[in-house]
Amino acid sequence: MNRLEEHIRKNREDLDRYTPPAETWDQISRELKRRKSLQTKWINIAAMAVVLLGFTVLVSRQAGIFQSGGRGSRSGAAFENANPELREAEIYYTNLIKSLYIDATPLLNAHPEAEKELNIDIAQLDSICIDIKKDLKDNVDNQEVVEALIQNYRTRIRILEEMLTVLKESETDIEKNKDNEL
Amino acid sequence: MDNLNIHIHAPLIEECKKGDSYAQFKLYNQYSKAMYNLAYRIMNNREEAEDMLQEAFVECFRNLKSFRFDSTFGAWLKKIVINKCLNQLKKKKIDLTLCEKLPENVYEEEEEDPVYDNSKIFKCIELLPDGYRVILTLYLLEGYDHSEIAGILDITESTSKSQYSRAKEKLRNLLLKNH
Repeated sequence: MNRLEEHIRKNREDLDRYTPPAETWDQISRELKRRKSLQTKWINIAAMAVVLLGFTVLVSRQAGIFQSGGRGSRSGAAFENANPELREAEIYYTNLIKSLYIDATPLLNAHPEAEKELNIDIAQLDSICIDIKKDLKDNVDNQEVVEALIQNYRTRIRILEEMLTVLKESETDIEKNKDNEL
Repeated sequence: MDNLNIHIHAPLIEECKKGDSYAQFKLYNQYSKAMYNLAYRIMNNREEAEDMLQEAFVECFRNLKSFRFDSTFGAWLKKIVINKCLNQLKKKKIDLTLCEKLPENVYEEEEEDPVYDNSKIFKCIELLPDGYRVILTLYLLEGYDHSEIAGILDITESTSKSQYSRAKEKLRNLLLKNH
């Protein structure tokens, strides 16, 4: 070790010359509180999603979905034409879900943890939806099966709407914090 | 070193893990100055150092549950600060690799070493090129060895050694010029 190294090591503490400004802690504290409140909201949404998913599964089971064996057979085209009201409802809900996704995309990109949670819930709903649609081919006039499908769409919409509300609130908080700092 | 010495803030850290904001404030007070100066030496800019300090402490408190006392809290926190700063330098596309040539007018070892003044050393460290300043900070001021620095900066151990040697000579050169 040369003399310069030796001097620096001996005087190490004297080289820490700056003190962080007092506001730094305020900003850290604010950010921690914001994240904590966001986390609480995620937990609430996750809990709500579990309840809704459970309800959707229950409705599907009552409608006979997930049970093996069909109750007759219809072609895909017959299913399209046999229940025009269902077709109309499907278009309505699909468009609504698409529009909610468009609104949510930039916010979800900024919150990857929320996107991950959402994808898990939607994957479960997709899987249920596939089973319902299989059953619909055979039971297009069965009101319980139709109800199960509608319930599936409503669950998606509810989860997306709740998530959007929380994400928007979170963005507003960030903007307010920025304004306060200016 | 025994565990008592390593984990002097263990009760405080446990309180912080529970989300106690007063404990978090106390822990911040213990480490903020050292971490701020470390961030400043890497970024060479006080405002950016403040941002890095803020981001590092938020990440620290968010991930504190994963801290299992395998190292000291200070060493764990220091790694977070360094990573934050190096990522920021990467974002700014600052290249930490340096030219292979030794700085001009390199003084021979022990040739007319002045009486060193801490304020001048502080100022001359600020004048070092980014790559030299970072490696000098990590080795001489923060106590990492060359194999650790090689891991942190993703360079070879021999590059770390040669870069440090040049950084030290450059600093010595600056100190003699500013004497």
